[in-house]
Amino acid sequence: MKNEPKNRKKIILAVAALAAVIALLLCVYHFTKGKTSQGAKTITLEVVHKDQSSNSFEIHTDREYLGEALTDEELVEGENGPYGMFITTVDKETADDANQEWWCITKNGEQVNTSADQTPIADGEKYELTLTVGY
Amino acid sequence: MKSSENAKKITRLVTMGLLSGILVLGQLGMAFLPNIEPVTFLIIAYTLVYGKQVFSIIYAFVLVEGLIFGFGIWWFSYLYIWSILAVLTLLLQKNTSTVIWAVIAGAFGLLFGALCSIPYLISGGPGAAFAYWAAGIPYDILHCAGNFVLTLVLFRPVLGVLKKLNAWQKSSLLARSFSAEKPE
Repeated sequence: MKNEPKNRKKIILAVAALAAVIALLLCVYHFTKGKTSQGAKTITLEVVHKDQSSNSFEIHTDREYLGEALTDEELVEGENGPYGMFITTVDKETADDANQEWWCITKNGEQVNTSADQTPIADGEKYELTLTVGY
Repeated sequence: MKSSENAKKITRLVTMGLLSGILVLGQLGMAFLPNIEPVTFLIIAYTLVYGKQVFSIIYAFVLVEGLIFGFGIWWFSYLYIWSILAVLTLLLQKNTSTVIWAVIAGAFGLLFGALCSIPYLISGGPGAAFAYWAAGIPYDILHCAGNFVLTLVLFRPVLGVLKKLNAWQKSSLLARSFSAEKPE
C-alpha cells in the first residue's frame, strides 16, 4: 500500500523521461535533415543496369525529395520499408533479391546515406542508380 | 529417470521452437506496418518466463529471419540487438509494472536505429552511421510508439498465458517423473 505513491512516481518519471528523449531526438532530426529546395528544378539521373549499359534521364520536377521525383516520372518502383520506399525496379529492371541484387543510390558518384524518400534534391544535381550485386 | 529427462529436453526444444515461430509469424504478420512489431514485447515476456532460455529462441528467430530476408548488413545487427533487450529484461526482471515495461519497450524502439547503425559505423565510418541513424529518427519514434502501445495492451495477457503454459509443462513433467519412478 505504502509503495503505491512511490510506484506511481516511478511510472510518471519513466514516461516523462521517454517523452523528453523523444523531444530531444526530434530536435536532432530537425537540425540534421538535409534542407529541401522548393520550386522547379532539373536533376539528372543515370541508371546503370546489370549488363553495365546505362541510360540517362533529365528530370524536371518541383518535388523536394528524390523518391517522389523518380516515382512521378515512373522510373522506379519499390516497397514500403522502415525508411520510406525501398527501390526494387528502375527503368524496368528489377533487382533479384535471391542473387543479392539491389539498387545503389549515389550522388555525383558518392555514397548517399539516406533512402530515396529522404534524399532532398536541388537544381542541377546528378544522381546515379546502379544495380549492385552482393551486400 | 532417463525417460523423464528426455521428455524434459524434448518439451523444452519444442517449446523454444514454437515460441521462435510465434516471433517470426508476429513479425511477418505486421510487416506491412513500418516499424510496428510484436517482437519486442514478446521477447520481454519470454525472458520473464523462461529466463536465459530466451537466447535459444532469439537466435532461432534471427536465423529464420536471415533465411527469409537474406543475410544482409541488417542481419548482423540482429545478432546483438535482441540479446541486448533480453539482458536488459533480466536485469530489470523485478519490475512488475506494465507501464514501466511499456516504457522500456518504447525506449528500446527509440534506440533501435542507433543499435542498427553499428555495422554502418564499421562499413562506412562515423559519418555513414550518423546519417543512417539521424535519417531514421521519425521511424524510431514510430517504433517507440508501437512498442509502447502493444506492450501496454498485450503484455499482461500474453505473460499470463506463457506462465500458465510453463507451469502446466512443469507439472506434467513432474507427474510423469513420479509415475516413472513408481515401483511396480
